[in-house]
Amino acid sequence: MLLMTPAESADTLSASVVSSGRHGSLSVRTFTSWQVSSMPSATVPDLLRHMAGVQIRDYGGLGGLKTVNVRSLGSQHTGVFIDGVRISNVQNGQVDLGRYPAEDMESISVVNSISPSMLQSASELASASTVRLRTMFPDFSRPWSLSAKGEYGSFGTGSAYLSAGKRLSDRFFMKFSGDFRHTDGDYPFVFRNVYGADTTARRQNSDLTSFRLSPSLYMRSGRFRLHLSGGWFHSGRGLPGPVIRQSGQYRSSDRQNDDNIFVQTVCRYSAKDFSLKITGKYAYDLCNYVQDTLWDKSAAYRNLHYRQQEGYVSVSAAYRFGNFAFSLAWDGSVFHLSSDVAGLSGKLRLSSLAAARVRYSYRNFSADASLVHDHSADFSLSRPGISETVRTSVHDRPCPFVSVSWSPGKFGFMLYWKNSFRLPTFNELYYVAVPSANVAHALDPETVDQFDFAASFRTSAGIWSCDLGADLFYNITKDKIVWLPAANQFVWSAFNYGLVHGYGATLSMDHSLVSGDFGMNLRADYSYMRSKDMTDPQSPWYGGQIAYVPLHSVSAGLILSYRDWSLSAGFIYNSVRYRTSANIASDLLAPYACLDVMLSRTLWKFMKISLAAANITDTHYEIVSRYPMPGVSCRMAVQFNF
Amino acid sequence: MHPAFRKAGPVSMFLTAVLAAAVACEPVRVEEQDNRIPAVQSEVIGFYLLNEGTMGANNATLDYADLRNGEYVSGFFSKQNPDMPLSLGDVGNDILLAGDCLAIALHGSGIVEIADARTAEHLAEIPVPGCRYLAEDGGSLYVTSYAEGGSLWKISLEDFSIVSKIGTGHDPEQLHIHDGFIYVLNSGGMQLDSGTGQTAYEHTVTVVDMSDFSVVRTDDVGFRNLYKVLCGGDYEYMTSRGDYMNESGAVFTYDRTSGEAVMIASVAVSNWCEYDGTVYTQATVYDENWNQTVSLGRLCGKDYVEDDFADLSSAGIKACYGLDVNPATGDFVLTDAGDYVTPGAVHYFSADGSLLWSHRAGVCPSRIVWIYED
Repeated sequence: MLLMTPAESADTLSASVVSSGRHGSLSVRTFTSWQVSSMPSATVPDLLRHMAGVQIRDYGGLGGLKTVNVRSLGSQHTGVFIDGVRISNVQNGQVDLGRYPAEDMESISVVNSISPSMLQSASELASASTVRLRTMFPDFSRPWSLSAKGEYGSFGTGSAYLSAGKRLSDRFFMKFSGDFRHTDGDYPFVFRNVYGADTTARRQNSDLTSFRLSPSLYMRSGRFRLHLSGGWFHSGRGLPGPVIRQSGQYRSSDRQNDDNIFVQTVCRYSAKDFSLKITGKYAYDLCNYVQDTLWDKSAAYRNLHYRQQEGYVSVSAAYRFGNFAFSLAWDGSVFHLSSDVAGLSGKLRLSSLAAARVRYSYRNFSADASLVHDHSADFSLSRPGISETVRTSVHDRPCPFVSVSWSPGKFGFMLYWKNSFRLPTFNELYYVAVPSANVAHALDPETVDQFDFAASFRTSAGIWSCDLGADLFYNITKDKIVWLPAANQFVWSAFNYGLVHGYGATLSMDHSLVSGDFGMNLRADYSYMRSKDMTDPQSPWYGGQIAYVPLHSVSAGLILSYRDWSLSAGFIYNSVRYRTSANIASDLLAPYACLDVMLSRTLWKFMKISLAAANITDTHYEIVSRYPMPGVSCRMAVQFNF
Repeated sequence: MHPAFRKAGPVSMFLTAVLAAAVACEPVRVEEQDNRIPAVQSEVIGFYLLNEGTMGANNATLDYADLRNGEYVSGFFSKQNPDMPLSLGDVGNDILLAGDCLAIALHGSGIVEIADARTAEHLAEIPVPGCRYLAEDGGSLYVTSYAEGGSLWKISLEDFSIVSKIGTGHDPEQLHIHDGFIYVLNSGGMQLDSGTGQTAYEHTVTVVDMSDFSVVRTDDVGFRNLYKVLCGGDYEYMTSRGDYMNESGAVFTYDRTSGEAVMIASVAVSNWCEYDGTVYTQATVYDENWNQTVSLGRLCGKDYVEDDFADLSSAGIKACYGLDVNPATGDFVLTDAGDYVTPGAVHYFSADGSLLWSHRAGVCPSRIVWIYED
């Protein structure tokens, strides 16, 4: 248990029962709740940027889309799970992480191999890499809980957060959490060309207003635990568009409104050698895209609604027998997409994931293997008089995983191979060529093979503890889905075409020192990532670094606390990136470094005041080409915890 | 030293060594290239090549091939206008030489850029939302635009002001001026039928009387999704792109007086150019697996013949995107858009079809204008 990450140790009793434990932190990187609340980062994606090997694609500002991508495999290969339930967006496969408040989080982890806990859902086992968000589990020893936070900062950014809980009995605890945020997002930016000529402007139509209401019911009874939660998330935002030359003002007026309603339940039963988890979820997503709200005559007014429904059931069981541990898991899901896009009929995707896993442990050695079988079918649904229901594709794919690990003393070593794939998204299948095309292209799933060698070292002596981790990895992405013009230069289609070879290393360390009134935590992550575009040997750009992947990235976080005071700093550096595989000056995005700081003080044990400054050096940079990031900004917050 | 540090030291050093080895292994390659090209002496001293760029990337660029001095200048417009932070703009759709001016239609930016024809120095910027193609006549510039349901704009080349505009069919593409009339080809490629969701392609040519700038006729030519127009010899040739599914693209002749269209070949000609009364064409043909082959041809009167007038195999063209012919020498220029995202290439062939030189171009290199000596 020593090397178990807090996320895993919080993973109820099952982790301790079924997992052999020692190699727990190999290829896993975690932020604990203390780090989450002490770091100057304001949101979940801001925190994830600090993890080795993680790239956040950020379109700028609070309202800008933020997606996560681990080891340059592509954001659609990264599964994002909240309390063990996958967050899906079947339409474009990208999860906007900006909507999850950091205040609710117990821990945030990035897992590259598979979790050491045997009790995993089949979709957790199937993902190439996973980001796991774990929300706070209530403290049953207290009759009630209350926490509130108000924040205000630059660019008209304000938020309010409230979480209130009541213990109903020894077994039940009820909690309600909600938040509201708004930002004008009209931050200034500087755009500079290679000759030094610059233009300064303010981002327009970059505002966001959102609220979230989420009640939860927790039950604890002996070996049984249940978490039932629901929620309504609403947001309305402007889509400011890229910074390009335009006549007059930057005038994109497109808007996006999202509503997400969900109910989910996670039940667990944990005994000495046996544990069981059952998960169910229903989610309804409405995405409303309004193009050209100003009725600008140069663009076409469009008001489109995409409605997506998802039903999900997952059962997993783990059993330990001597030196062996076994687990079986099955996930079934139904996705339905309908829209008022003219000519686009409803889409249905049914998928079944079946997984089996076995682990053998002997002393400090263990071997782990799993196989996930994915069976899924896509249907294009009938529309009266126009089209009939057709099964457009069926996929059957086994995804193996094998690992061996050895943990002598304070060291841990692991070697693994993981094969995984992702299905083409509905965007890739249907939003192609002529908008009316209802016949899906026969796109194959994109597959990834990951080979990794991980090493870890942990030691502690009295007041000091140290965690070191290193990974060397090689991955191959095959049948990558890329867009190319099809029938001619006017019509584009998605094809299985690309091939990417990637290799690199990540290093991470975590030092803690606690002595009397003084506490210190220093984290540092480094990653080297070479991802080569091997698609077309005839291309002059064959072997070029793929778009948006920095060769070097460094992040560091320092938290110092003394009595009631806490001072923290977060640092990020990314080397040169290119917007395409053509690694030439015209496609270059400059390297950048950013520093965030936060000072906070706790008063009367229940109140915390904090003052934070993000990007204090006022670095002007872009993560996505033509989407400038905000310069320096400040915010202050008051938080109450009862 | 704290005992724990002593233990951690060797581990850190090992990790650092591994890291250093990895970093040293393979740095990212940054391409540099030679900008010399073989000189070609004639009264044509060079050509501008417009690179469209990709939508939303603001990477339209203008290259200049100096044939007289044998030098290829990439990003010529940016170099000549270093004080313009956003440079040329987004999606360069068409370029035209109008007297001493160079006019460039930037579709994504909604701007017609006017620059000096010799130096490419910025002169004026005319806001024309959704601008597509350009034509010039009698001191005026005519611009087709997707805006306002399809429109034709008239711009004065004296003071670069918008003189007038009229409606055409939906999504007009190229236009041709002949004897006091403007012929505008309508595509309708962006129009959706609200019922079926099918694209409501246009099949009409809008005829505009230049004397009072009004629509005099709308000719139904029967071919859908019209695209390009070119005058060669006695004929006015037009292309259509079809619906990309059931109806293939076609080349046909158009009778300016009767408005009648006569099919020549059902070949989706993407690019063409005229030299000495012959129209040279390039079409991209797809098989059932979407593998593309470039096919070259000629239009002679009312016939289309396949003719490999340039040795494509020597150039290794992946996605042919532009074709033009040197009006002084008959040399051909073919451009390659590659993967449409990364910079493409320009290939210069002598009149007999042999490859003289190749050079890297910008993203989606498409249209060329030839510059004569003074």
